[in-house]
Amino acid sequence: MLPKDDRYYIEKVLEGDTAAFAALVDRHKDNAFALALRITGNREDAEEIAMDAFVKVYRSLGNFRNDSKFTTWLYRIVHNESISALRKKQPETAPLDDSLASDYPTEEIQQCVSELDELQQQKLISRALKELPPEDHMLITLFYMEDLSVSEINEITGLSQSNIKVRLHRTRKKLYQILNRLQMNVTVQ
Amino acid sequence: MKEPFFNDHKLRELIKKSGTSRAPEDFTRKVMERVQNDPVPEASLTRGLFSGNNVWWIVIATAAVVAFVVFLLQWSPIDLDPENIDFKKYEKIVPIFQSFVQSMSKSFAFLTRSSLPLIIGIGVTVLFLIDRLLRKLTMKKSYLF
Repeated sequence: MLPKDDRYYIEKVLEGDTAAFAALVDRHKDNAFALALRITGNREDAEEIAMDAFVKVYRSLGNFRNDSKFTTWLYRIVHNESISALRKKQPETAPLDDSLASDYPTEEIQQCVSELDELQQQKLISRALKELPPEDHMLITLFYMEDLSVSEINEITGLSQSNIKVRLHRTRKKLYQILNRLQMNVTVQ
Repeated sequence: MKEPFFNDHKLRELIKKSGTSRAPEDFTRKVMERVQNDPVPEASLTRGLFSGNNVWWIVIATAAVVAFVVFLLQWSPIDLDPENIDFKKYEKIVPIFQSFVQSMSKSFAFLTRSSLPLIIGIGVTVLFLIDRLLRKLTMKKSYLF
């Protein structure tokens, strides 16, 4: 049997079948949680934020516009909740120095990283991603991990499309800079 | 097609290898517990009225009303110029309107003479009935019905 799409479950919930909402939660909980975790960097906070986002989604399901994707709407709520939670905790985040993040031999770094075994690669990437400022981490995850387009990221974050492109470009460079440093440590060890 | 400058297939592959963090096992149960304690989601009025086949019914009804008005203006059986109206022709229906207007004015006079709580009570009842009617139009099921 073909899996039902999100709209099917949304209609069911609006018809009074509350249990149908569990299917939507089950389907999107991991991505919502992962997004909140990438922004907040804390599992407990991420769980609370993702749960709050789902309850908000449930409450305003009647206002959901069918012209946009359900995930875009959900991620926007998760994003907004995470950013406001983060601002309450950390009023300011120190950005990485952009001047250092230029002219790294990306192909060389890619080559060195790909020579590591699978587990080492995973650890290295996870550590590098954690070193990114939360918003950059979130942007790079939405674009590279979730395969969302720039216009979808624009809908979720409210950042302009040109700003997203510039930030993705810079973040990509920063990530290579971090990878270069971490990978050199691994090689030395 | 030229690749956007921020795109990077190698990096995409590497990032995907880092894996997605999974939500805790009991996540869905916790969300559903919160949801069960919440009222039924609110359906917006516009969604109920302008969704699915309703849009076509609204378009058809609007077109019918416009056509009727145009018809009346063009081929009205009654001369719409007040100077040409022969009021004698309508002598029979005038008393009906007169009695309607009289009964309305009597009702309003009664309301103004009666107590303030009665007026408020009638107002609240009318608003309540309008609210129920709109809810019934916009929701197929609700804990209220």
